[in-house]
Amino acid sequence: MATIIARPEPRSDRNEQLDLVSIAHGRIMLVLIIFAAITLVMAAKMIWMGVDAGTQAERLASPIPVPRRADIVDRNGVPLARDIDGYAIAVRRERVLGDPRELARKLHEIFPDEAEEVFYAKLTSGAKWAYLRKSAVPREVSAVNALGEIGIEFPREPERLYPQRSLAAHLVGFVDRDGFGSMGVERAFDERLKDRQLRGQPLQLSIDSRVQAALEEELMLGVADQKAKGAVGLVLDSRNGEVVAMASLPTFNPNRIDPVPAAPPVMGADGRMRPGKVTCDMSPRCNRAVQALYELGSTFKPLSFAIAMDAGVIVSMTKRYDATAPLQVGRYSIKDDHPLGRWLTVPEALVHSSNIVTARIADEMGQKPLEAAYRSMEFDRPASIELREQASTLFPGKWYRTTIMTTAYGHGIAVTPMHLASAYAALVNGGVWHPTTVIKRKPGDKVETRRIFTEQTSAKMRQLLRMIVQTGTGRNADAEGYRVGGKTGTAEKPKDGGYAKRSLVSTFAAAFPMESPRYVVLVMMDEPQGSARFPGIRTAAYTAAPVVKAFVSRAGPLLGVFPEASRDVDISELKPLVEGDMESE
Amino acid sequence: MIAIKRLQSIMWILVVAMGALAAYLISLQVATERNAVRHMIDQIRWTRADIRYLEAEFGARGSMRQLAAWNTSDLRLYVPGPGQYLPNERALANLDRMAPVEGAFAPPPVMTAMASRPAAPTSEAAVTQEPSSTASSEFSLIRTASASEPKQAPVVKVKPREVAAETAPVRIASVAVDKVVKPAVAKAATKPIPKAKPDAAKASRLALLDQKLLGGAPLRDSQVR
Repeated sequence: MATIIARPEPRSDRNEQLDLVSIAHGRIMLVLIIFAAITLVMAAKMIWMGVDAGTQAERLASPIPVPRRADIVDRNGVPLARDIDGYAIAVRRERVLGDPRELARKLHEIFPDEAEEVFYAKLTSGAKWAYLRKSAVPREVSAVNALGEIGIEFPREPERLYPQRSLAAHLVGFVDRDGFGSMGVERAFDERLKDRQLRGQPLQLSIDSRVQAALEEELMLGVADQKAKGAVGLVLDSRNGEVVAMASLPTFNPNRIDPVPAAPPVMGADGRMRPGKVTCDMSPRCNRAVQALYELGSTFKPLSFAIAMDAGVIVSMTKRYDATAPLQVGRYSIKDDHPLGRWLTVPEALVHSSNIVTARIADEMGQKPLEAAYRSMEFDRPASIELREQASTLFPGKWYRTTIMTTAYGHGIAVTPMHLASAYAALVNGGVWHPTTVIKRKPGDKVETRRIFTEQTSAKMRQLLRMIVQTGTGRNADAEGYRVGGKTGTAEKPKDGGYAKRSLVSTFAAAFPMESPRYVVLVMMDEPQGSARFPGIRTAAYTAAPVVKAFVSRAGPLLGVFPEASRDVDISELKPLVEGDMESE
Repeated sequence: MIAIKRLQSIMWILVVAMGALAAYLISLQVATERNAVRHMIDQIRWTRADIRYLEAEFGARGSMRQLAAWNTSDLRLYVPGPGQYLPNERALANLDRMAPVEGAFAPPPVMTAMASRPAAPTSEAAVTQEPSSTASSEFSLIRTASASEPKQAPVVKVKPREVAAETAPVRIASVAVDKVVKPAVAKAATKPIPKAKPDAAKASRLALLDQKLLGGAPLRDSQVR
């Protein structure tokens, strides 16, 4: 056996030793660098934590739950709409243990508005996870929970709640299932309500929920008593155009939105049937205060008289006008509803609501001042309010002589009740027109106003309006001690190119307290049939005026106006100009 | 020597490790504290959410429509009439005054308070004066009370059907005065005031006035109802 032994090379080479030392040094340096880096990272982390903790503390300093959508409150902070964590009911199909048919039957018992078949379909087909109900009240949730089905879940979902239910429903509006505002303020201020920066702050409206409740209740009583088709109530702050209350009947509950009924189809010009237009009479969601057009009749007369005073046509209250016979203009005949058959002074013409005298004054005045004033009051365009649901007005395109005469007493021109209330605010507040708003104005807010009437004319009109209520057609609106002034207006509704004799719109436009009017109140009854107290009488003096009286008596103190039996507007200079008792409309 | 050198390096490693550990412990402590704060903030947020929910529930249960329904079914409260409001402080001061008989002179009882002013004229002269012309210090207090009356009045906005109309103004006015005049009386009662001081006389007069206007049981809310 041969053994080979190799002689090992000598290892102690100097160069090699130097290499080893340098490698060792390199490794030590590497370890040192790693340690230094770790220490540095830790130190940096500590410093960062110190800095970040401060910023985090600032960020979390206000642990206020920010709603998905801003709350809506009234002018006193009473919530009208707010987000809450509601319950939904959902099913995870793979976990369902019970018999789906039996489960569907029990669910239908809890939710009678949804068919058993619908529940069965949701439990057996479609996605693995599906909503059974997108919103449910706690009572319903506990009832479903008592079924003991583990496949049914109850996720919390943000839900829009309207705690005052139908109160100011048309004004506040509602939100659709996808979270978009569909009506009223919810629609008009959708962006503002969802704005990340602003949704923590509630949107404050100008309405007063107490006044709104009083107005709605009085209107409801009026509608029930008079068997009216609907009603409108408006309260404006005449000094700044704020809407203090806005009601439209019939109303709806924004917490439970029913689908709008389909309009009956109509035959088009080509003989084909087309889907009809949904009118205010069909849907309770229609806000008649801004969406419905009416010829508001005699309530226009004070406006026309004021325009004539400023135009220099009426220079004296003692001036007499011929009302002995109907006024014949071409083939038209302008008549008074209750003809007196004599010459009337200006106050008499207003108190007796003479169409003939108003037409004569308008004729004398001409188109220019009348049209200019109507346009200044925005009768030729939708009302200047933030709400999107608005109707365009029916404004005369051509001003014939008859147009001038008839529009002066509120015929041949159709506007919304909001237009009229806004015009009355200008008429009584000293003559300055303000754009209306549903948002509470802050002190110092700049509002674009325009002068329509002079101070003197406004003061004279306040006397005349007070006189109409004290001794004329508005006596049923004379809330004791509140110094109400106003004008009645009863107009026939247009129908088939003419006027429906038995379909009336009765309006009472008022303001109080008349020595310095702060609030304008407008009540309109749509097709009243007469109250139990005055059966069969459908004119505004017996339908709208009593509602105004009941409302003012109730809401006056809430608005800061207190009754004073020993205080009133001085109308002694006008009284001698009116002969006899005033009974006509 | 070599051992010491080796130990030195281990010591360094230990020092660095301890430093790192200390830093980590601080970090841990900070994280724990931060979590506690976050938990607390979450709790506050949940509590506020619960408060919002309860507010919404109260708002819904006590909605205007509901209050109106309760009023119709149970409370039966009505709107106050014009006779229940007082326009100014003068009317308030004259509230319990006896109406003078036609043609005869009847000294009104409220004048006693006015006659005891330090600078007041003789009692006969004071009796013949109009209340407005004697604007004494106590009447300025009454004026304050009356000035607050219109603000208070809406609270008592409904009138009981069964209460007689002539007694109602006394109640509303007295409820308003209660809040303004009473503290002054209480203050006067707690401090020992010498008889000679005009404040004492004023306090005693106020006490009299207070007793007159507010005395008796029928001013409680439950009885108003």
